[in-house]
Parts: sequence; structure tokens; C-alpha cells
Amino acid sequence: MSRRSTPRTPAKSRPEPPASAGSQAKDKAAKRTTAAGPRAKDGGPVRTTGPPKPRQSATAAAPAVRPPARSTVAARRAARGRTSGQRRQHEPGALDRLRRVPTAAWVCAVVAFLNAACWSVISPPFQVLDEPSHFAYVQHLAETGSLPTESGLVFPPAEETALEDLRYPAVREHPAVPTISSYAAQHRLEHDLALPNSRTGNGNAGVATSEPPLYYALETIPYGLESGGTVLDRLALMRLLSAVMGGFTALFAFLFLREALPGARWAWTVGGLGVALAPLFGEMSGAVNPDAMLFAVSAALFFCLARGFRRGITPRLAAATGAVLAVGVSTKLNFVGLVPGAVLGVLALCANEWRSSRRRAYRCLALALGIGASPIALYGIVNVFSGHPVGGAFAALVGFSREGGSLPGEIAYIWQFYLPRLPGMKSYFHDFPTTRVYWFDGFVGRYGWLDTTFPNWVYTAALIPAGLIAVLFARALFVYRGALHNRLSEILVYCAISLGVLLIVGADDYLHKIPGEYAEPRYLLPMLALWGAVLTLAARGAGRRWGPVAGVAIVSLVLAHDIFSQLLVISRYYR
Amino acid sequence: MRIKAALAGGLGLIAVAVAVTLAHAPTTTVLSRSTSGAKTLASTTSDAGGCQSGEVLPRDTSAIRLGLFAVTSPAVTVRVLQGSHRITGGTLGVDWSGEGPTVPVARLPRTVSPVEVCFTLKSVASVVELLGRKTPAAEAAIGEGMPLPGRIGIEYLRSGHRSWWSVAVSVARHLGFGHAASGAWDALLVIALAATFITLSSWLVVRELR
Repeated sequence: MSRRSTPRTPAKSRPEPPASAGSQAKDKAAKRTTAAGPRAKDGGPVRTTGPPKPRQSATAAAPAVRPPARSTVAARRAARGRTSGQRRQHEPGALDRLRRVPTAAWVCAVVAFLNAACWSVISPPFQVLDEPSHFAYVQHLAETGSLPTESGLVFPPAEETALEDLRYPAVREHPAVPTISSYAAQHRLEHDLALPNSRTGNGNAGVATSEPPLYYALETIPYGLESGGTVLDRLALMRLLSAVMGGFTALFAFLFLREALPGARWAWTVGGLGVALAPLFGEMSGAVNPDAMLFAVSAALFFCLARGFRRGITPRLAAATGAVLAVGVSTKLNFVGLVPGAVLGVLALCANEWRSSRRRAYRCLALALGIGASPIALYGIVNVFSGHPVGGAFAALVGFSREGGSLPGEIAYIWQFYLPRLPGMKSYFHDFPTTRVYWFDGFVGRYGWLDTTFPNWVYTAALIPAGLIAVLFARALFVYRGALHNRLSEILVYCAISLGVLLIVGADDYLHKIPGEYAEPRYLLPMLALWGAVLTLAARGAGRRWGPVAGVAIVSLVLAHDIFSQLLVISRYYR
Repeated sequence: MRIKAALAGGLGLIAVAVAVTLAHAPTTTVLSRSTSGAKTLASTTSDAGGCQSGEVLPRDTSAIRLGLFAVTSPAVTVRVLQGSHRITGGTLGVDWSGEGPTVPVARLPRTVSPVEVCFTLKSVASVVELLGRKTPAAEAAIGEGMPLPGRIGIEYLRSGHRSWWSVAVSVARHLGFGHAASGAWDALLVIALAATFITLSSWLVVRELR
């Protein structure tokens, strides 16, 4: 078995707290399981070489994080000393790797898929943010084989007919107006959809025009499968593909939690389900929107980095990280926000590797960055030969200045976009409570075209559970502060990624000069894996005895949030 | 056992909350004025207010929806005046978005006419549009001491007589409209999907957190 199957840090690096009687019994069972060989069923860190190591009990509150241990370097060197033939012989295949994924991770993925599928049925066609534009992009790509060129909002006749018959303009942003609700309107819709309306227009894809094509190219598959169906048939199948991507998001978020917070495996389920059942995530993953794929790729990026920090980087992992970066920048422009932090992470991982093998470190660095940068390099080359600016849409995205603006002004603006204004800052939002309204209330629930909201008291009441989760999370940080200190570089990388996401959204809002235009919480969902970590740590913050009960309470809370959000959307559109 | 009990408690609470919520009646529009074919009359980027006379306040009105549109929404306060006497009113915080903020107001057991509806917008951070119907200046709403180009759309709402439970079949039928596969099966599919992910989540919690 290669070294990659062994957790990087030995148990001795973290003090084991005394276990309760119940957990001691579980420990014995765990010892038996571990001694018997790999635990394919739960897929936890499997140890196949060396002496069996007692598995931590389910309720034991081990440190939240494990420091990178120098002691593992020797083991890694020993592993490296094996011949390549030996390595190949013991290298687990793809199926083996899949079998090692815990059952709980798969279940979280299925729950996320079902939740997103449910949202895809509930959300009326085109009544999720920017869906008409994203559908138009796919339609144009599938029908003509070329990318859309115009950002107009007049779509091909087939789509326009559907929009008109669904009363799209009347319903959008008009919370008092439900979707069609009569047999006459339904018959008219069915009749018009059956007409042989053209599916090609003048290349308009609205706000989606400047986006990279990967997500849309994948969506042409379900579009093509339903090519004989109506616009709504195709849209339904395309939404399902997004829901599948939602499943992958939950899967990678769970795997990230397993790598980043290995101390208590029961708590991974809390974070995994917390992600899978998040209503905003469900809504976006149940719609035709590249955000669905962006969330999955972002979660995969967090997983790759966490795995590297825990087990050390390998050429295979470096290539995987590079591939994730390449897929990310080919999915949605917003992914650019994650790139600086991800590059920092790769550099940190390679710096760790550099201590034991410079050659290997350089190889990993070249693999990760080379593969990751390849789509942007290709895009630049195409732009050069087609006479466009080299940076194209990416350059516009990272252009951090606007006419009449200044860097300090922009920093002050982005600060106030998320947080209360500090003394001395120019007021850009006229003391509008951005933190509360844009972000907190936004996460509590603003669905559809941000026009579907709970009654006001719900947002106030939501402060209570949110506050409790924050307290539990803070307690976990305090209890495990030593372990966190040892993993400072890893935490800094996650913070850098988050900062990049926040900056790119805030800068976009600044550039567009309409305050709040980009204040959509979905833009922060690439950090879903970290949200899962917050929930996981919050559960563990309740302590060994009450942690699992707190975990159940958190899952119940998220489930309730999801159910009531779906009921809210149903009541808004179908009353 | 503790986990199962906690989960049962959580799911039980959710079920009770859903049942109680659905026992309430949805609000319905009693009277709409100047909302048909509404156009943008004016817009503001700073705190503002206005009044519109010649309105009718139906009995049991529990909320007033104003013809306003905003992405970054301001706080809205509504006062209903009879002469100079305030007969009802209410405030909506900044937690709304899009068109038609619905401001809850205290109910009156009788219809009152004519009344003047006044509103103020606070914490305006972005553009707020006033929507309504263009009219001669004599009939128009007054904003900041000046007549607006028309009357602002106003809707008066009150709780309906039928609970969400009693309109469930109608809602389920509407859910089947405008989708790929129209019909009652859409509602059944939603129920089946929700039941499956709730069951799976519960099973996983019991399995992993025990």
C-alpha cells in the first residue's frame, strides 16, 4: 500500500482525551475492525501497513485539526525508497479509491441531489436568477456549435414563446404575481411550445455571454437528449444535470471535512448534511446556472488542498489540483477569485515537500500550476490570434478600478459591502445594514429573483440559532486552539481563498456603480465546504457528551430551513 | 437512544411547525388601486416620502402593498390618515427586495373612506422606483411637496378565510402548470423527493451519530 493511504500525522502528536465508558467500548470495537484490515465500509483513514492503531472513539473530542508532523517525513522517505514496480503493485485503482469513500459521503451526495431535484421541480421555469440567459447560452451552443456573442436579452423564438406564455416578465420580481394557474394558460403554453419555433437567434445570451463554456458544453448533453421535446422538457433535464453537480458538491465537501477535521468522524455527517440540505444551494443546484458546477469544483479544490495538507502533496494530487483549477476557470469567471488562494496553497504544499525532495516539489508545482493555467493560456492564445485583448473577460473581471474611483475608496466600498462602516470611511451605503440584509437575511432566504422572502420576523428569529451556532463554533476554536495554531498555514490558505471570493464579488459591485447589484449570497457558496466545517466544529464545540446531540439539532435546523424555504417558494408561485 | 430521541424531537417539531403554518390563511388582495399597467413615475436615491389622498381603506386590512421597486431596499413606513388623524399604519424593515413591499398595518373593523396614505422611505442606499398610473396633477400623489406624475399603485390585503390546508389541492394543481410534465404528478414527485431525502438524512444521522 502506498504511503498515501496512511494518515500523515501519528496519533501521538495529539493528546487523546479520556474517553467515556461508552466510547471505550466503541474503541474496542474499532480496534478489532482496524486490526482486521481496511474498513472498506466507512472508508475512514485506512491503515494497511504497520501495527494496528486504535481508532478514535466516536465521541472523543480530539483536536479539530492535526499538525503536519515531521515524523511522517521519514515514513514518506521510506515509502519513496520503494521501487516503482512495488508502488505500482500496491497502487490502489480508481475502483479501490471509490470504494474507500465513506458510505456517509455517498448518502450526503444523494441527499444533495434529491434536494436539488426537488428544488428543480418547485422553481418555476426561468424564475431562478439569470436562468433565461444560461439556457440561451446552452441553446445557442447546442444548435449552432458556436459561443454566443451578444449580451442582449432577446432570445430565440422558441425560448421567447415559453417566457411569454409563462408570464415571465410579469412574475419576475413581482412577488404578488404567481405563475400561470389556469387550464387556459396551460393549454396555450402547450400549444405554443408544440409550434416549430426557431431555436436559433442572433447569439444573445444575456448576462451569460462572457462566461467560459465548460458548464454549458456539458449541458448540451441533456439538451440534446431532449432535442425532440419542448423548451420546458429540455430545461427540466438540464436542471437535473445541475442537481447531479450538487451531489458532487456535497460529496467533495464531506471528503474535505474528512481530511481537514479527522478527529471525530461522526461530525463529518453534520457538516455534510449541512451542506447537502442548505436551501440556497439546493435552489441554485436545481437550476440551469454554472454556479452549480462552480460549487462542485470549489468543493473539490478545498478537498485537494486539505488532502495535501494532511497527507503531503504527490504528483497525482498536484495533477488533480491543477485539473480542478483548470475546470474551475473554464466553468465560471468568479472562480478567478479562488485562484490566488489556491496557488498559495499549492506553494505551501510544495514548500512542505521541498524539505524532503526538491525535485519532487518542483515537479508537483509544475504539474499543478501548468495544468491549472492551461485553459487561461489557451484562451489568451486564441484571443491573440483573433485580435481580441489577451485577457478578454478575465481581464475585465480583475480590473479593480472604475472611473473616478480610487484604491482606498474601493477598499472602503468592499469593506462596507460586507461589514459595518468604520469611522473615517466614506459612506457608500448610507448606513444601510449590508451585513444583516445582504448576507445574513440573504442566506436565511431570498429566493427566485430575490423577490421571494420570509416575513420579517423570521429573519430576526433566525439570529437565535445562528448565534448559538456561532457560540459553539467559537468554543470549538478555543478548545482546539493549540491544534489550529499548528496548522496556521493551511488555515491561512483557506482564508486567502475566501478573501479572494469576497474581493471579486465586492469589486464587481463597485465597478457596476449600483450598490447592491451583486449582493447575492449565492456568490459566496463556493465556500460551502468551509460552511460545512463551521457546522462540524459547532457540533464538536458542544463537547464530547452533547456533541452528537448538538449535531442532530443542527441537522434538524438545516432540514427545517430547507423545508420551509421550499414551502415559501411554493406559496409565492402557486397560490 | 439519545440520538434517536433528539432526532424524533427535531422532526416532530418540524412537523408541528409545518402543520401550524399551513393552518394559517394566506393573505389576499381586497382592493387594488392604480396598479393596472403600472409605470415608473419617479425614482429616488435618497430618503423620501409622499402622500396620496382619495384612497379607501377596506375593513380588516392587515397589510398595504405599495408600488415601489428596489434592489437594495429601504425601510418603509406607512401612515393612513383620515383628515389629520392617523387611523392605522406600520413599518417594514429593509428585508424586502423587488417590487411591492408589503407593510403590515393594524386592522380596523370598518371600511374608512376617503383616507390619505402617506409613506416614508429611510435608509435608501440605491435607486428606488415609484410605480403607478399617470394622472393629471390634481389627482396625483404628492412627493416632497410636489405633485408626482401620477398615482402610486396601492393594494390592500387581508387574511383570507381559507387556510393553506384547505387550498392545498388547488396549490398542488397549480404546481403542475407551466412545467415540463404538467399534472398532479409534479406535486406527488415533490412529496416523494422530500420524503426520500428526509428519510435518508435521518437514517444517516442515526447511523453515524450514535
